[in-house]
Amino acid sequence: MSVTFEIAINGRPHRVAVEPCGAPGRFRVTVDGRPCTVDAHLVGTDRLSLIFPDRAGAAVTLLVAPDGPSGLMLHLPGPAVRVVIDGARARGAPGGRSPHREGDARIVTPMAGRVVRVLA
Amino acid sequence: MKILVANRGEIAVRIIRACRELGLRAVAVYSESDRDALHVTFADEAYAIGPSPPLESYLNIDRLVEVARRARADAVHPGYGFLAENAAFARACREAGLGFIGPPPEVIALMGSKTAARQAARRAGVPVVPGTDTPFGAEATDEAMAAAATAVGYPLLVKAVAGGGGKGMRSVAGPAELAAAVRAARSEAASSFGDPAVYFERRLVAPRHVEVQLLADHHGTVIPFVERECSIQRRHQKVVEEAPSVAVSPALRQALAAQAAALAREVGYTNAGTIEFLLDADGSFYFLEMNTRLQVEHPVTEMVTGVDLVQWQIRIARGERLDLDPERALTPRGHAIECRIYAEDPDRQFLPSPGVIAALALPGGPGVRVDGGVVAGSAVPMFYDALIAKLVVWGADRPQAVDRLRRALAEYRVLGVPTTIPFLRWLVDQPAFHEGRFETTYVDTVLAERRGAFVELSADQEELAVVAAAVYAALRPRAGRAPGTAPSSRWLQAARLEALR
Repeated sequence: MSVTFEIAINGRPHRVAVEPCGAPGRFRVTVDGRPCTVDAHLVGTDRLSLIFPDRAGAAVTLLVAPDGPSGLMLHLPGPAVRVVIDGARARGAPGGRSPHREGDARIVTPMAGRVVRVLA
Repeated sequence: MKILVANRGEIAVRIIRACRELGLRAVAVYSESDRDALHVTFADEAYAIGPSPPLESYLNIDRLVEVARRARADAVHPGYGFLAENAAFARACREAGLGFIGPPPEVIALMGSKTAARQAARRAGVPVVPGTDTPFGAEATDEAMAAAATAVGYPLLVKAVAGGGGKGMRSVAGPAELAAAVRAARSEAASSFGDPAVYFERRLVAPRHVEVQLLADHHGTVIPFVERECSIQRRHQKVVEEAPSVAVSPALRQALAAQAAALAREVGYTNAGTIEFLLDADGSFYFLEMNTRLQVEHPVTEMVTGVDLVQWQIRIARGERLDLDPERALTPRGHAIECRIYAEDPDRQFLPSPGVIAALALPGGPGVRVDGGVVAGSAVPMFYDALIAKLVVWGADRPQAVDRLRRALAEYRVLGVPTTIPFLRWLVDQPAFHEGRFETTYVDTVLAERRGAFVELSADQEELAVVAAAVYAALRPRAGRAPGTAPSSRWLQAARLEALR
């Protein structure tokens, strides 16, 4: 039940898989084949608190802001970086319900909007 | 009483805060690109003054005076920059019946002329750097200037009479360079100040820049303050300032203060002003110039003396007596350091970086003060100085202040526009900075020798960024959208509603 991303920093691509792991906000993240466990919480709208339980509880808080349709600006302890996230490909999204599931599916979304003309 | 603040950015916010504490109403003015600026949101009243280019707004004397009248303001505070040292603006305020929170226009004009200021310093018995006391206008011949330069001695500086901030200034090593330097300085002086006149000054080898803040009331009292050390400069622009100076002994402090007060009395100075000196390695000092306004770096003086200089500017302007203890003003309590935070990219030759501040985390805790002009969401317009904030720290002594500065710079995070924070973090870790071993050419010298980027990502930091981006995307499936905003399409809105059922 993981989601995979292609994440690029300074033009360098990384393949990342994220899957929920126990408690809410806890994820198993595999970056270019190297796994780690991270406890992640959004604090307010622009702070991301990360705790790495299997790295002696290392705690880091980053400043985060969206950067266009597929980018993020992150301020680490030290440098600020821009990252590009190349679409989530979900094999069962962390939340369990993915709008991007593959295969046959019944469209249940109502067609919201305003009727502007009825063609008889 | 109501005060119109004829400025923008952090200094406008600083002045409005002083008004609040004195129970006064503050009026902001704003250009088209500053409608949402922090100083506008801080004010009690705000008035548009025109298009974004400074000449059409913050430098438009007629418009500012008209707005001050319309707002029924009693006085105008010019801040620093823009019209703060413009005698015509001070005069226009006076003629309109508005108080001008600064010295009289005659004194601004006198000290604004570098050569007239040198003459005033000589009259007051204040040592000046060897140089020419009369300006060379457009009619001056090459032969006359060459003779004057020889009399002053090389190396020398060609400086604009109306100059400041390093503009209209050229260094000359020997006679062969003189004519070209004069032409370049004149051209820059004419375009920057509307006055091509220049003069010559001997260039001291590796001097420090120290300056004395003073307050003077309308009843004859002049109080000089503990010196500020402003030698950390990049291209003649101050970057880091501190008080007191590690190079100034108590005896030298007394001498500097006495000379500064003598010059202020000589010219009939009132309100806040700063007298700048060059301090030679042997302890001799020379008058450089006087700034007839509040300085950017005034907070370091406030931090080591506990005196609110902006409040005193207002109190002096309304006729109050300066009843500060002179000893308190000259006795530093602890040590304060200020860093100017600019929206400039240190990895691109400090290129100004206008844009929008997407997110902001300010430092805090013991001994930390941030005088800022922006919040998250603020625009940094291309039209104005790129200073977005001043980080000021205080410590019981210089080592503690440096430790706090390093800690505060690590806490300070800005997203959306590059800033000079990475450069300042590097600077604070230089051994010469730690030991206070620097003079006015220090930063330019070490930057010229430095290789590599200020913002570099280690492998561990890159992995951390990848992990953070991935979990952020997992927590916020549409990570590219601004937080809190609604899905853009009605299909998505409907899908979200359905999912919540």
